[in-house]
Amino acid sequence: MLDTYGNGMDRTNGRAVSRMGADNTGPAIADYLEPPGPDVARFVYRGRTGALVGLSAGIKDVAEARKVVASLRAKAAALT
Amino acid sequence: MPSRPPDLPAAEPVLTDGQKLIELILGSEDWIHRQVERVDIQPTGDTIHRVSMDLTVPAGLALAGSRGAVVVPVTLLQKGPLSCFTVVGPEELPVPLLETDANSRLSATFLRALAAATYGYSAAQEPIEVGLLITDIVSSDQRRGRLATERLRRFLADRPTGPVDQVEVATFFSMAEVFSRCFLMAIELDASLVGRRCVVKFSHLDTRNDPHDRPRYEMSWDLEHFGVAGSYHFELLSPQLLEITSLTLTEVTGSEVHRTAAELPSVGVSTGHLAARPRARLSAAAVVVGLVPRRYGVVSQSFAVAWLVAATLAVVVLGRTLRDVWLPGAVVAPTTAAILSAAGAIVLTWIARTPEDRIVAAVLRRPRRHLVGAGALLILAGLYMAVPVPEPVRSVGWWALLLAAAGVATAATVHRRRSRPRRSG
Repeated sequence: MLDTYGNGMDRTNGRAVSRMGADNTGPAIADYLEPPGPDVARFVYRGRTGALVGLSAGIKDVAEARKVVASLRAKAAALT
Repeated sequence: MPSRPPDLPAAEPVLTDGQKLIELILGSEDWIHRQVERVDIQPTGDTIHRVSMDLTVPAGLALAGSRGAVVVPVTLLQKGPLSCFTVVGPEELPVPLLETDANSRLSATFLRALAAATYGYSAAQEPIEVGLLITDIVSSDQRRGRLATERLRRFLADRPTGPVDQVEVATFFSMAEVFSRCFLMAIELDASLVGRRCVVKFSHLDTRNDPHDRPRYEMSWDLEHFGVAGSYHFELLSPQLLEITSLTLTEVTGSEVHRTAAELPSVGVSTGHLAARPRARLSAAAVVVGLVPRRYGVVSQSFAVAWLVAATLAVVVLGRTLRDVWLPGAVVAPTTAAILSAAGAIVLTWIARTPEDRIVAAVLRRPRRHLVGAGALLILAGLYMAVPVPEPVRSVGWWALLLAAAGVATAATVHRRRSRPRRSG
C-alpha cells in the first residue's frame, strides 16, 4: 500500500532528488514508484493541484475505486 | 387530492446543492471531457502550468451563482497564495473565480452531503458537530484543518450508526483530509453556457529549486488532478540546450499502478506530448520527463576542447623529446607562450555564449568545468613556458600538464557517455 503524501518514508535511497512545491515534505508519486538512476538527477515539481483522494484511502485497485465512487453517488442521489 | 395525468412525463427529482456537488465532483469525467496541461519552463527556472479544460456543464446539475450565472467547480488547488494565476472562459474572456468564503461554503456543502451519504443519515438528522467541524476543515489553514479532520473522525467513530462500508468511510476521510489542504476552485460561467460545450483555461506558477549536478536529468510532476477529466494530455517544451529522451506517465489508483510511455524518436525531441485516459475518477498520476544535454554549443565545445588541449600538450612533450634527440639546444619562439595563453582565453569565452535559465546552467555545470580545466591548462602552459625552470624539473612539469589534460579529457568523455541512457535491445 502506498503511503499518504507528507507522511511517507523516503524511498529514494539517497538518490538525487530535488523536491519542489508547496507540499514538499514527502516523496512525490514518481519517487515512490521508481527513484532516479545513479547518473540521473530528478527535479520534482509537486504542483499546486490536489487529488480528490489521498493514496492512503484504503482503495486496492481501479475496480474498487470505481465501485466506491458509484456507491457514494448512488447513496447521495437517494438522500432525502 | 388531484392526481397527475398519466401522459405527463415524470417530474425530475429536485437535487440539493450537496447532491449536485457530489455528482459534479465525483462524476467530473462525465462532463469534463478533456484536460490539456502544458508546462512552460521560464528563464528563471520556474514553470508555468497552462491547463485547458473542455467541458459541458450539465443542465440538471447547474448551481445557481450571481444573476444569470452558474457556479462550476473545476479542480482542487492547494490552500495558500497562488502566483501568476489567471483563468479565462469562452472567447478567452476572464471569468470570475469564487472568493475564499464562497469556495469554503461549496466545499462544506459537498463534504456534509458526502458524510450523510457515507453514514446514511438525512440532512435533518445531521449532528451539529459535523457541520461545525467540516466548516473548520475547509476554511482553516492546513494544520488546523488536519486537526479538525481528526476530531471529526473521532466524533463519527464514537457515534452509534447503522452498518457503514469501511472503504467508503476511509474514502470520505481521505477526501476530508484533502479538503484540509486544498480548496475547491470554482468559477462562474454565463447561464447560457449550460448544456453547451465550452473551454475554460487557467494557469499558475509552480515553484522550483536548485537542481543537482548529474550527467542526465529528469523532471517529474505530480498530477493529482489527473482523474478529473475523461482524457488527459500533457505537453512539455524542453529548455534550450536540453532534449527529451523519454516521457512516461504513471497512473496510480489505490495500489494499482499503470504506466504509459510516449513514443519518441531515438534522436531526442524538443517537444513531448502524452495522452492518457484515466482509469478512475480517484486516479492520480506522475509524469517523468527524461532530459539530456543537447550536443551542441558549450557541450560539444567542452568535449572537443578537452581533447584538443590534451593533444596539444602531448605534441609539446613529444616535440621536446624529439628536439633533445635531433636539435639539442634549439629554442622555441618567445611568442609561443603568448599564443598558448591566448588560446586558453579563447577557450574560456565558450563558457557563456548563450542565454539560459538556472536549470540549463546546472545541466551545463560539468561541461563548463571541463572547459575551464582545459582553458586553464593552456594558460598555465603558456605561463610555464615563459618561466625559465631548469631541467629535469621542466620536463616533469610538462608531463604533469599533459597528465592533467588527459584527466580532463577523460572526465569529459565519461560525462559524454553517461549523458545518454543506455538503449536496451
